[in-house]
Amino acid sequence: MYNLAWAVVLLPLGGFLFAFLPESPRRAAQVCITFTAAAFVVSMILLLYRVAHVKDNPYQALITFWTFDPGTKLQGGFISDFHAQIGVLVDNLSCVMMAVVSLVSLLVQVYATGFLRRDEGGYTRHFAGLVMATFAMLALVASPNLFGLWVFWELLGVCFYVLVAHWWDRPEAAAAARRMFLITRIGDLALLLGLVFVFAKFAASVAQVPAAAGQTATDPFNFFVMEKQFSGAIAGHVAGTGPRTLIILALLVLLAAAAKSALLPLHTWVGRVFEEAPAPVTALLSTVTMSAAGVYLVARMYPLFEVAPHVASVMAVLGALTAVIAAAVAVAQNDIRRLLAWSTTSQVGLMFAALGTGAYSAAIFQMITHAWAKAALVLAAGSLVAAYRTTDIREMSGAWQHMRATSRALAVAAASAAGVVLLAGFWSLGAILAGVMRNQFPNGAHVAGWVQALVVVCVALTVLLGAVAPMRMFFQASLGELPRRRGFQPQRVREVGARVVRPTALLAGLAALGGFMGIPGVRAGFSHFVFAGTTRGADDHALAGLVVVGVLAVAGAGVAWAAHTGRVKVPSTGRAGALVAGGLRLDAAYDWAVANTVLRAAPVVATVDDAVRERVLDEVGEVVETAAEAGRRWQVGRIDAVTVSAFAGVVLVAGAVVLGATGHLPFTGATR
Amino acid sequence: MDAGIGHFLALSALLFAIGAFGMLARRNLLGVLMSAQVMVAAATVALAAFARFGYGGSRPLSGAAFAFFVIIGGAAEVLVATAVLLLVHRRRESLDVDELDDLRG
Repeated sequence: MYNLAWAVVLLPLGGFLFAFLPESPRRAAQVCITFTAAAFVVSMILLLYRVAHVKDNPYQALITFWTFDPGTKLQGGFISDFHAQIGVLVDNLSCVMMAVVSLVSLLVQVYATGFLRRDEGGYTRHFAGLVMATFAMLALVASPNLFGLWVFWELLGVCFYVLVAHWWDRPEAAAAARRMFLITRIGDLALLLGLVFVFAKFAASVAQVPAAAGQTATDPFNFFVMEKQFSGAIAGHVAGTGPRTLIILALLVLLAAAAKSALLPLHTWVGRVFEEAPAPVTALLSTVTMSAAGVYLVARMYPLFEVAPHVASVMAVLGALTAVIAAAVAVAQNDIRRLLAWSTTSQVGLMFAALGTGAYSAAIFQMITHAWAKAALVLAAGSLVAAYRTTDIREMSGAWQHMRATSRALAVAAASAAGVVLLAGFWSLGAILAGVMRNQFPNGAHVAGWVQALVVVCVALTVLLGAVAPMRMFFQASLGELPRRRGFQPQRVREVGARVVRPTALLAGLAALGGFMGIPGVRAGFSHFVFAGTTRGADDHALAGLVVVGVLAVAGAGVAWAAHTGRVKVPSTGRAGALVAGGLRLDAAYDWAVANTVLRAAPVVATVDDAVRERVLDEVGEVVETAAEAGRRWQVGRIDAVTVSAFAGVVLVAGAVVLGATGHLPFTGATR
Repeated sequence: MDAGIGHFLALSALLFAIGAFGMLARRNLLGVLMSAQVMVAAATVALAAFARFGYGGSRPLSGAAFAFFVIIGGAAEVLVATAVLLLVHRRRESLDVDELDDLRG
């Protein structure tokens, strides 16, 4: 049964490969969507099977396809312990992730068929990129070890580099993609260092961990092997390791996740990407792939953070500060894309705050509800921008009458993202607040009291502020009459088409009703299905969390309404706000650092390059040219000459064989 | 006297020699192509003979299978080569191989 997970992972890859077969871009898009839909169906079968067999928990199925074996020649050497495995890991977390990733990707691709113009270049490339990114994320969540996760982590970055630069002939789009790629490279590098660190510190002791059933070698990067190693390290059972090893490793993992998920010092790429990338790409990137990959990495490496509570505290504070600052900045944004970018950063910060205080299930739950709500918001925003020909929400109004479906989806998704009572976001935000108040890791560890107090305050503030931005966006775009301004064409304000409206509406529906699975107190709720360690999640503080979130969300929505009607002026955040909105001048700092290191070193490298080219490569070229000039005289171009030389060759070879077999050639005599 | 493997190989060698001679001696491109086909037939005869007289080792039919592939390949070759010949003849009104030296380097 669990072998089905292979299909979930490989179907999108098949979609990518087959997308280039048909000549028509429309067919290519259909191929991608069909394969993604198949992956979604299989992942749902897998998920339902897991739900039906939830009593078998805790359960993991590890299906190994291939184990890297350096062979016996290196036995005893350092590298001989390198047994990285390629396989799929099926547990509750990866089942849920696979279903959500493939569903959101499917709907986004359907949306993209209506959103992108086919006559434009890059249509096939866009769909191939979307389906490849889906493959990378599915393979990432199904990876049974850190090694595979890292491989697909890098692949994901490459896919989104291509996708974000969809309109690559615009210099801004190319620059946004480049900046995203370079900043996330910092995280990639950290993850690679972490991988090397795991191998250097724990590979020698891996023999102490028994290999899984049916396997000959123990993979040092396997998550469950690492879990045992980490607890061994903290107990002093692993030579050469200790708490400090775990802290360094946890910091590397946190840095990797922070770059991918854009936590505060590394968030500068998000705004530009939202501005320059097509709406489907943004929707996928901000919900279930890039930002989710960081959250997933931390969730997968949770045993590490349990035994390194100091780093967990750093993560909680970093996440909470990111959440509250980004939520505050989002309130003052008038550009619909920047508003959504900051709102996303804020929500992802909440997930990290929850992970840092032991609220594992709540963070994953929030990731899922956020995926639905934010994907619906981004897709609806894409339709609005296409209809109104502007990105300023102050210049949009009247969508409620003229774009009925989109504006209603927008209403539901905004309310869900804000956490309005009974919608999906309400349950997940309540779970996050409850988890932060509970402050307990599965192994009983917890973060310091003052850290927890700071995080609780920040989370509550984020819920209040985070409700304002999406609700304000909805009120501005939907209510009132159509705008009157020069050059505005009111007849353009209409739905783009069913292929755009239906996925948006479906995601909004999920954002409204999808919270049922996380209602606390319900037996076999979300926290009883996806949990860290071996203890199912607890639901204490759940009621308090829900009540506070409900009050704050309604208050935030009220503020947004007051701001819309003009009773409250949206405060200009002044210089401090501009500073944060502009990326805390970090972009300039990054540019300065690059200009003073890489670009300074470039002329030196160029000199070496020139010298090598002149001395070596040009010489090689001339030799080849002389040889070619000599060789072309042999090409007489006549059939009889060619035939004669072919027969001469045959005679030579046959003669050598005969002479060799009869022992008349010295170098073949040994065969006798 | 029964025919043994030697007879078939002798036939194959004879056919090959005829083909090789024809290929070198004929001036007409069509003749060159026919000679090439005779050499292919020589190889096919040898392969079929090896299969028939049990020289296939653990895979006794591999010679026969090869022979079939060679036949199919030969058919395809003739198909394409005849089309090329036709086009050459249309353009140059001649199939004399001494005049066809456009591929000179």
